Amino acid sequence: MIGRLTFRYGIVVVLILISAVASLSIGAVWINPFEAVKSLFIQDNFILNEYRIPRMILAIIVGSSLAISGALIQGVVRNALASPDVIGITKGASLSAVSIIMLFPSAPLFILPFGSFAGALCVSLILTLLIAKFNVKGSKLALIGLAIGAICTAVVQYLLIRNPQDANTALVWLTGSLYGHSMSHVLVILPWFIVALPIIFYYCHQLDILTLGDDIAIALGTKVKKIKMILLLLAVILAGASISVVGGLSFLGLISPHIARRIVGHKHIHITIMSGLIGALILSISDCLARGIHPPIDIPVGVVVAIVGVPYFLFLLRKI
Amino acid sequence: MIKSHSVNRTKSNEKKAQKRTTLTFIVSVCALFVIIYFNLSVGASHITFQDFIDYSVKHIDTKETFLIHNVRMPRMFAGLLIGAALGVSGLLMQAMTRNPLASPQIFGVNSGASFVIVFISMIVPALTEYSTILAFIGAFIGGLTVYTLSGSTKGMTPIKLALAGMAIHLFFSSMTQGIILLNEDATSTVMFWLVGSLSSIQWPQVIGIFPWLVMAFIGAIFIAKQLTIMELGEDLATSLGQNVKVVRITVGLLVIVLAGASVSIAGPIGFVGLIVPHIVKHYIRTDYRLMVPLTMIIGADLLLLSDVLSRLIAFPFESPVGIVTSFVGAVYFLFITVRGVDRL
Amino acid sequence: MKHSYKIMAILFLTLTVVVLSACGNVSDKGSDKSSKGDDSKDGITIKHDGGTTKIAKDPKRVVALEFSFVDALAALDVKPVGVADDGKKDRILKPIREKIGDYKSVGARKQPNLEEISNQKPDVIIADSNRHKGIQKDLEKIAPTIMLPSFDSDYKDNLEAFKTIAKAVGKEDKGKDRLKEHNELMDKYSKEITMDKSQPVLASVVAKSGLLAHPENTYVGELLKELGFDNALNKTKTDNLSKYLKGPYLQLNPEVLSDINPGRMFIMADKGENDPNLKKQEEDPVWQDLDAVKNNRVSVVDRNTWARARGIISSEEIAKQLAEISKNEQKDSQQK
Repeated sequence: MIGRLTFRYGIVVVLILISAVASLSIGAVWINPFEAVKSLFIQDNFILNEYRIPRMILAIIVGSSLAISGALIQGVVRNALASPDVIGITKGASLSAVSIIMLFPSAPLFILPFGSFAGALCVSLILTLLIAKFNVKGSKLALIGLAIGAICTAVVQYLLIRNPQDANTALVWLTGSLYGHSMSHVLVILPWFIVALPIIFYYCHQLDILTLGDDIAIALGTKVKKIKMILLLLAVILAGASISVVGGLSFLGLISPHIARRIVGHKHIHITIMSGLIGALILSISDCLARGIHPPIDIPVGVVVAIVGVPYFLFLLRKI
Repeated sequence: MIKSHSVNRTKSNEKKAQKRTTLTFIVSVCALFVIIYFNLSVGASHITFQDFIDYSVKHIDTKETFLIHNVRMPRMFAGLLIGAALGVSGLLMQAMTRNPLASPQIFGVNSGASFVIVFISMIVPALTEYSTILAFIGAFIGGLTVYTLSGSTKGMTPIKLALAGMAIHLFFSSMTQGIILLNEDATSTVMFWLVGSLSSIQWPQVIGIFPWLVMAFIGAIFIAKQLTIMELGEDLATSLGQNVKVVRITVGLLVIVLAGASVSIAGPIGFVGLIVPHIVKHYIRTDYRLMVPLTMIIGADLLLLSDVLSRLIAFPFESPVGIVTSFVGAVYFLFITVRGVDRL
Repeated sequence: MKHSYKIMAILFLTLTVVVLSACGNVSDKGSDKSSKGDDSKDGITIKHDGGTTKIAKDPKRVVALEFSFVDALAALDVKPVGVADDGKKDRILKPIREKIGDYKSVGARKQPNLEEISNQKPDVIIADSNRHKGIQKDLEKIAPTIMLPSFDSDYKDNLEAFKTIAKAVGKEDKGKDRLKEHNELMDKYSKEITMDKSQPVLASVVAKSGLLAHPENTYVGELLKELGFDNALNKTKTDNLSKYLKGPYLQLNPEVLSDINPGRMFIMADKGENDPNLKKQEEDPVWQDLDAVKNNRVSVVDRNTWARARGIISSEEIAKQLAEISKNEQKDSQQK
């Protein structure tokens, strides 16, 4: 049993390493993989240092953050359709980001991550309030999030139409892109990733109990409300930090947990870790493709994620 | 004694229900006429009641009647037809999947059609003449993919269908966004269309989709009785003699035609298909033979009203109608979710 | 008690992240102000939209990230080594393309490929002050960068930018001469354009959603005004119409169009006369009813030249085209 799981983890990790190296080699300028790995340690290549290494690390961290966030939300909401994008967190972040781009075009650019994180937090605060005060059940919570997300999307579309000059910048942000990111962006999300992860692992066991249903969980002594709130907050923080750096990248939170479940079963500690790995893998591969398909054109990563992720996801769906 | 009481009560309940139904129909049709008038009169150009008389009764040729005939009328007709079409397609989907969240938007039909249209206009513009037919194909591909990938008829649960639908929707819309981003100069112009807009619709386009929609409407009314049976549940329906598979396929085709035609000339207008059936079900719950026509009327009401609003928000500037329907639709959606929908 | 501790801890951590995300970007801005290359007395200091930058004298390798900059460089006889051309070489006007010869594409104008730019080892980079705002510091890490308006510039801004570019590449005198030559050419063309300039004119792009007008305060609008035309969409009209739309271009619906009813129209189409959007527009009865259409005063021109290019050479092209159209019209009316 354990052997089989380790084997699966092993394969995924190896795949991630391969795509990481590929990520370092592919781009407008082809760098020999061995060179690339060597330079990783010596740090003498400008292109690698400035662009590729930060992007690769960012892809891995953001990929896993979004995926784990999705896994948490699916656990709390107990709905397989849930993910930060579906329940309105991504949309809330998008709304604040686009508003800032459109309404304050002369604002310094460092406001953007700040603002989008605030947007995500707002939406999640509404949702958390609903759990705290009304103890809203899982699916209903997801639906409310969906509705809020839809309202945000409508307003975003309105802004896009009214300000066609800045529509381009906004669209790129909305799709999600790793373009132009440097080590400073990695440093923004890294500490939070490091801090959140242990807390999440601690709660994984509780999440398993929660899946049995609210009533059973309460009977077993779990503080249902409190746990839901904490987990939701953690999920939002992971997703919010990622989105604030990368833009409205959607989909990872939705499909990675599903793929993970097919591979490692239903214990949440495994689902969480595997989701993170799968998310990192998908984003990493997508980033390679985004840069490599048609240099020097750099396709926004969000588009590639959809193209890469969806067919695999549907294939899995079929297998049921 | 008691028996006759209950029979009487049932009879009076029935009468009440009938009264309510008739009232609903009358009110919505009247609303339709009022809204049509507003639809035709509100706008950047100044058009008065006198102009209408000139147009319809006296047939005079003035600048205003010219505008009424060539700009406002085709647009109003399109709004009427498309509103009805989207409403009915939503109703059909919700019945078929027994999922109150179903709508052509969520099921990849809209996004498949939009993808094809954007693809044509940006990458293969030579094919623009065939966009309507190609939009059907796009809608078909979207819908078909969702259908097949959610498993065979036996294994198709609402969740699996919803999941597959969401995935296909995201897939197509990402690709659409990708094409738009890579052809940046066209971005602002395509964005307008991509939200769903009734502006600049001309008679040839309306005439183009008219036959398809009329056929689909007739088809929907015919199949209404089967829908009522289908709502009871698959096993019950089969035991009552219904050929579930055939009904499903027919309904699927109708949805594709209704949604595909609408998207091909107006772009993907969201939420109408989701909201209208809910409104209708408030008043009539069971008999699809009544629900289908009412959906058409209320769908037309809603879309035409949204069109009027879209012309007012940023007067004299037009906003795409899709924005109004999205916003209003989303708020209404939030409302019904929070209020606690027993049907969910 | 333990309960609230946990909540406090989490709230505190949240706050830290929010602060970190703001700080992360600020500190990055501060650390990279040092421009690469020599800071010897031989450099030229240029003031531009993004600040002040020192460039080494006589830069040889120039990377241009917008078409108008390429135009300016070509007018100064400088060949850029890298151009952001959206991957489409033929977006650059032919006369300009011929002047600059071969170059390496650095990707889309909206998201130029930083790797490729750095690969070219440029001495100076010319970027758009609006579009490339976000990557300014990344560009400065590669080479001294000057930010000038292009995307939302009008005709006069464009000429100013030309002067700055001339100074930056060390050809200030040549720049002055070329500018003089340009003004003379424009005067000459202006006289050659014999069509009736009192007819209000409307320049617009034809797109899927209808006509996107370029009123007086856009590049084309201003250029036409310079050449003596009277714009149908002048300040008073546009103030009313564009109150709700940011950005100079106006989406026209059929009613507004028939209301404006310009005497002459220049339609900028992507694919010339066979553009499908144009064909759809031509079928519209409102279109057919316009004065300009009825009197055959509609000219279809290339969108690339008129709207995208912007620059000294391309404006001369536009003027030349107008003179051509004028001559043809005269010929047609004489034949009648």
